Amino acid sequence: MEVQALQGECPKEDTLVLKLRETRRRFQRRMQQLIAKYEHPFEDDPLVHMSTLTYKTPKGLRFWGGRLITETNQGQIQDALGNQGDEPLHPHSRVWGTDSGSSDTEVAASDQEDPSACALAPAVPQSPLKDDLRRKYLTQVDILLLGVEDFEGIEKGVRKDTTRTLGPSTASPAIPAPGSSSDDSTESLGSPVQPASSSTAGGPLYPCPADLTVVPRSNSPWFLETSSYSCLSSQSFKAADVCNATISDLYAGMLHSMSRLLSMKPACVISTKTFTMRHWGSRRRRPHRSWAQMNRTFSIGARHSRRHAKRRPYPEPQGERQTLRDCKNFLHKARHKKGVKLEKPLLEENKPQLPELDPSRKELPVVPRKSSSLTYLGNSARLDREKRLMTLKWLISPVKMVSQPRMLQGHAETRYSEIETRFNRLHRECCLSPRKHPRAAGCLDALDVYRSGCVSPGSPQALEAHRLRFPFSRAYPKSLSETFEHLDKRWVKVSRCPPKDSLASCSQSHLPQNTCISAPTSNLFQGHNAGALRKAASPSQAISAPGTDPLSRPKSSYAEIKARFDQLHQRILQMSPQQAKVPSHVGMCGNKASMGVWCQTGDSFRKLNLDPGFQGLTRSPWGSVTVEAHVSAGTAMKDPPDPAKRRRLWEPMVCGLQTWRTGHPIPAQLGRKSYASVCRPAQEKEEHNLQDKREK
Amino acid sequence: MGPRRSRRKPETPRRRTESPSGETSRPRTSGRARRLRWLREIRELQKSTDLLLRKAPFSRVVREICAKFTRGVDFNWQAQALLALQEAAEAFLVHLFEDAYLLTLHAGRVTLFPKDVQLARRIRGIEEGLG
Repeated sequence: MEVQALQGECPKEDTLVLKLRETRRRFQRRMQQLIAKYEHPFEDDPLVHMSTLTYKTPKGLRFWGGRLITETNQGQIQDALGNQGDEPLHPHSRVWGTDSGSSDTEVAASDQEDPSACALAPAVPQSPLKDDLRRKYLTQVDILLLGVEDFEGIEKGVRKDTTRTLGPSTASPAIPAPGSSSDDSTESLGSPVQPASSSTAGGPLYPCPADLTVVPRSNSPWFLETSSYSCLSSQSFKAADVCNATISDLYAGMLHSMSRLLSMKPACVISTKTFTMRHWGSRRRRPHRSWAQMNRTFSIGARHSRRHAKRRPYPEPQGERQTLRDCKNFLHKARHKKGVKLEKPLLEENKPQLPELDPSRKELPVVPRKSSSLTYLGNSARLDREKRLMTLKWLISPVKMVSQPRMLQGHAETRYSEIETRFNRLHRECCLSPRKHPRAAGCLDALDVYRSGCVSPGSPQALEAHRLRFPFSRAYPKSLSETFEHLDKRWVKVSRCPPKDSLASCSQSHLPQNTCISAPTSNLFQGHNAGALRKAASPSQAISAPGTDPLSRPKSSYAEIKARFDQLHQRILQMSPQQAKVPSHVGMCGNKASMGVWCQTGDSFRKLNLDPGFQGLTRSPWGSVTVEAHVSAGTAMKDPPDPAKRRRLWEPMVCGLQTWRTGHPIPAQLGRKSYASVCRPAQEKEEHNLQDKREK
Repeated sequence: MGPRRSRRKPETPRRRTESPSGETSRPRTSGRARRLRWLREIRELQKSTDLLLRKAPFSRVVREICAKFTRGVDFNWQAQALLALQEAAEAFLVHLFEDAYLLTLHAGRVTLFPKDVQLARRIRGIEEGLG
């Protein structure tokens, strides 16, 4: 029985195995047929765009396995009657094409495709919806940024109306609506670009369409160009850049910009209605003012263009426009009644932005200067634009932005090298005539120039440089007070004169460079006169400004520049006559000046160690050391300073001194780097603290 | 033991075939017609070599899988490449279902269960069962 059962089972399993083999054979045969069928190159085969699942046939575009799409000349899409479709038309899969034919056969072989169409088909097919999204997003962000600058512009426009001698092309504040319709497209893309790209575009209210906003991505020369922007170039930019940035690329930028907006106005929720209305209201109010101001100097053509531009309202959502306008009217009236009351917070809000604006005049030297007022205005407008572009640079992720920072870095490097050569020359002059105070002033001047010139607009370095002037004044109590008087006079002069003459005494050969550098410096000095300098920058500025500096250079370049500056500064301090005067206690040192520094510091620290609560050190040479060490602004600006804190800051220095006393190599001889290597951990800690403070 | 098992296995299909007639008072002709219909359909499908899946849904699947490997970038496909891929996929699926149905019959059933497909893939191994 069992044998029979086994025999009965075996044939069953045999049949299973046989059938399995049979299916396997069939499958292999089928696969061989398939391989034979498809084993030849299909060079002229139509391409199926997987983004839209369409391909081109002689009749027109056709869905893969679906219905036929024929296009009219206007680009409108109609669904053809002939269909073998088994699925509905997708709403987003409309494709704009330019093909028409006669016969529609199976895809297999007979489809003759236009080779040019094949060549034009991008590797990354663009979907129009995505482009629209990108454009809308960039437009919105641009408008937001523009709005922020409008607030500044309001403040500026009140004071600078006397210098407004703008050409007619500058007077069109037209901003394209966020989702501008197709009939507006010629206006919104064409006309606003022109004034924005012309070098004489003035006022902070120049228009800039969304397509311009992507510009800083590339290394194209127009960013460096000043006078010969062309509408065409910016248009082509739009086509290339908007399409190349993907949503995922924009995401990091979105996060950045949102965080920046939130940090800029920490107390306000961005989307509250009152804020939005106030925002728009003030923006709407702006052209009225400028119109009234410009009436004095504008020609008729300018008026006309202005009026024409006025027809285009600010970019508000289409649906809410009417109600918002009502609200705005109300606000407008209310603001007239309340007067300064409403404006004050706005100005306060934008106060931190001002230091950002001014140093950004670094691009000035490229401009051929003929008429100072015009170029000044044009440059200010252009700088506004550059600032915005720099801001928008962050909207596209750093991956996409590789080229631009490189360019900026290169620019910074060239400027840095020029400054360095000049610095060296001044240094040489200093060495030649060591007792001459004006030379020291010149050195300080160069220091200032160096700091403010190399520092990016609104960056913490600028603030630092600003703050560090105070320790300087403490460091050289007698000589530098004169120096500062000298400086103040000079800078007041500079602020009144065009910046061309500002540094003429320093050097005539590097004229563009000088002007470029002197502009931000002069602005710094404009903002804070001599008294303010002696008292150092106000704490409020120190606190408020760092929050608004997201456009600073990359930190690496900053670190490089800072390191170089520290080196040069060290050298100058070592070689300066003030330090050379101080008798050195150690005869081993070849460089007496540098030894002087250390002896001085040693004295001060001895004092400190003996009397930790010493308050009168502010006027002692101890201050000069604080400059060297980059004492943080917070501690440097406290008056009277906190000795404990300072001592804590100088602990590494004390360590260095002790090591030096015990016979170790003198840090001053080795230079700052070796000194840093001697007591690195503590200093790193301190620098870290400084960074934190600055970021706060 | 052995004979009982051998007896029971052919019984299962019989029971299935008998059940529609026994459960309702439907006329036998309708059941026969239905059976004839699916038999006819099977024969037709076995003869034909057409593509069985619709092109558009298959192309969407292709796009989805392709996007996984291209990080979201949509490539362009030659039409013949899509067709070849679809034919190969269908041939593979037919082959897999044939094997799985053999296993179903071997288990004394006439209904294909997922475990049959899984067993077929398991027996084939990683390469032929495609993972």
